[in-house]
Amino acid sequence: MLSISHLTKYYAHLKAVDNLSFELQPGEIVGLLGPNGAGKTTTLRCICGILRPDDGMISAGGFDLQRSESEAKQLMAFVPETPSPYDLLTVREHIKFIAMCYNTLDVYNTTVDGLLERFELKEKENAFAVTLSKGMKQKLMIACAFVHRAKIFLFDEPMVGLDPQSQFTLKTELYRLRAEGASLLISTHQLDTAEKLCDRVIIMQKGKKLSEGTLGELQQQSTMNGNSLEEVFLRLTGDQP
Amino acid sequence: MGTLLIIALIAATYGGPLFMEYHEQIKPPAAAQLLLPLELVASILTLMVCGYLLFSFFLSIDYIHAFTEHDVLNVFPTPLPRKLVFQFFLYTRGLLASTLAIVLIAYFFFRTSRSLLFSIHRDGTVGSAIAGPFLFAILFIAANSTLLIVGVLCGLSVFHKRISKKILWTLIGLVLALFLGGLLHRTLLGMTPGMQFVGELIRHTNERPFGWLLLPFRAIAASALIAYGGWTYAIPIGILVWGGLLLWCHRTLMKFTPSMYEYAVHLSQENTQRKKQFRNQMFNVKAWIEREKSKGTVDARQSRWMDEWAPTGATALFWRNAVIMRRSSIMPAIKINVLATFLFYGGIAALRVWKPGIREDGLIAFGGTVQFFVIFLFITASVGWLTETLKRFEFQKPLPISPRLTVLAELLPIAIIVSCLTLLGITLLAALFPHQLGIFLLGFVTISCSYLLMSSLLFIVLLFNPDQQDTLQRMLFGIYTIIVFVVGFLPSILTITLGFLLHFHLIVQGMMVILINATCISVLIILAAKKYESFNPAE
Repeated sequence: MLSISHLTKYYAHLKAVDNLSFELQPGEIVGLLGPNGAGKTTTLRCICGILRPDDGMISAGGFDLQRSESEAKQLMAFVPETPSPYDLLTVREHIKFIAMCYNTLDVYNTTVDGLLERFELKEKENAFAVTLSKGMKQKLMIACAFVHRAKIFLFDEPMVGLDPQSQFTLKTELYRLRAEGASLLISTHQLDTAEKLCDRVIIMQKGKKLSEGTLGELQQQSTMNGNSLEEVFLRLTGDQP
Repeated sequence: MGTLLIIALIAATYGGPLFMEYHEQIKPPAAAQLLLPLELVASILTLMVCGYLLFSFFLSIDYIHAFTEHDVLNVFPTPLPRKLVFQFFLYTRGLLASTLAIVLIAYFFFRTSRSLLFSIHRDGTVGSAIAGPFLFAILFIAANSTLLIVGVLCGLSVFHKRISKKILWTLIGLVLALFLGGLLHRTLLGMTPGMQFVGELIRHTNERPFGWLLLPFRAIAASALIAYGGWTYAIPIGILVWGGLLLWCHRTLMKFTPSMYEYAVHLSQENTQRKKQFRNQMFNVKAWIEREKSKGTVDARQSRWMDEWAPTGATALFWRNAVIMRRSSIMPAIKINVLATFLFYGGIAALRVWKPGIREDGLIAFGGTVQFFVIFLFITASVGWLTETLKRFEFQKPLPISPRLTVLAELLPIAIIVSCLTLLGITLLAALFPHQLGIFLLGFVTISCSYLLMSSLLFIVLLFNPDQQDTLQRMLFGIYTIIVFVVGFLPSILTITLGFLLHFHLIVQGMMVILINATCISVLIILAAKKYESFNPAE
């Protein structure tokens, strides 16, 4: 569904992402882990078209992001770490706007009320985005990601700012999407969440892919059988002997 | 704000004559001439210079933006000599806005006197014509630096509690009140029936004792007018006064070296606090919405047609812009503009009835200047609009809409508003002077195209200077905005000049303006889209 091949991105002379390659299959949740500055956010931003890679290829649903940008983007939904909705649009208008951009007003008409209920936005549907708390803005961004027919979901630290109830709702939604055959790539620092949620994880360090696999495979790679993802992560990234 | 005032001044004084120059095809005058008598121009300029410098002085007492908390945390702990660091920030940041003012005023006078150079050259006084603006710049910088230091010294005295802020401001107020009161008294005493009050007031600023008190400022004004009035006694006195004062003030300031950082830290904290307060009062959208909501002027409800209108794809961006604009502060600006346009042209119509002999060209030129202001108002308004677009890059860039269409969708809404407002002005102008319709239509095409060109350029500049919270970037952006304002009109002016020289019909000239501008705008949009595509504030 999503194929990343030799992705490289520089910030001036700094190599933020270095020759990164991986794939995402339909019906799979993949965690993107790594210490601060590992290149996780840059990778996600390159995949969703915010940043232009300096080298490598990104293909979504068979569409090359460089050559068929609109078609590739049509298949993806991105939820940034810092929500930045338009101050003077209401919650409902935001969701409508996204549906209009993706030409999925039919999805909007049938799902908007359910989405607002599920993410506890119903009471705030006519409130301007600027008046929302950070957590509510985050919920709005997530709700926007569900209003078009995306097949690939990219989340940058989606749990940050959410209350426990909303975290639970989001996890339920993620499982539902996986069951429907969507591919999900989640960048997170919450290793316990990643352990429970993800089918597979990719560990990055200094822009490079350090390791990739299921928890069992990573345990084998780090010779730490039976240990938690946190311990495996610390061993692989060199923070623990 | 200072920059805006200067531009407004130039637009008001220069926009009309510039328009007239084209309209009447005025030949360069054979000798140095001013629109008003030299004495009057010198007095007006003296008051302007004095006002600007005093304003700058008042700000420097306790409102200097020379120091930020970033400097305090990052530069002050370094082993760099504190005298050097203090002076560097004080002069570079404290004088940056003023430098812009000098450049613009100097340019204005240089530009006006340029056409006279050939005739002056024969008399061997070309040096004077060129030296004027440069001498003006030097004297202005010296005066501004002096007053900046005097302000800092006053601030330091307040900081060290040698004098209370209240007493200091009372003294300043008293001096100003004495001067203004005396001037007013003298003017009123000398008034006879039929005299114009403002003219008399300005005339008295050149007479004793006011003339003597204003002499250092008059020297600066006189240096700008060398091409017209020659070298006056005020100029050498000004050089001596400002040069001497600057040296003395600088030496006095150096005595405060041990407490310089302490004072700078205090200023940076005050500035941060003020900025926070200002943002909360003025630019905090959340607070603004709350205020407007309580007044009932901002409503989350949509009109029915807006609610039903649901364009898809790139046109959804227009829907979003329409919704936001309806609620934003652009709406009151449009309403005020429409009202002002009707009042202005109503005034012109009344003036024509009242004084039938009044020169038509002057009124048309005045109308041109007003339209010039409209563009300026909206080009400054568009900065906030475009900045918001860039702030939401993470939300907007993943949308399946090409960068070119995105850029176009962001630029067009305000351009359409400007076009509509210009059309309104032009229509009213054409109703008053129907025989000049061709010229007005050409003006409409020029303004509409030039505005879009300017906003495209501005967007590119903004993509390179996206951080409007950063003082230096904001100041640089202000300078670039003025350059954009000048460059934006260039293709149209050059095309019209060419069309005029080749005696093209006005319709052909209009077509040429559209064609040339459309080409330039397309290129700029492609460049802006390219930059927007790779735009990342982290870089």
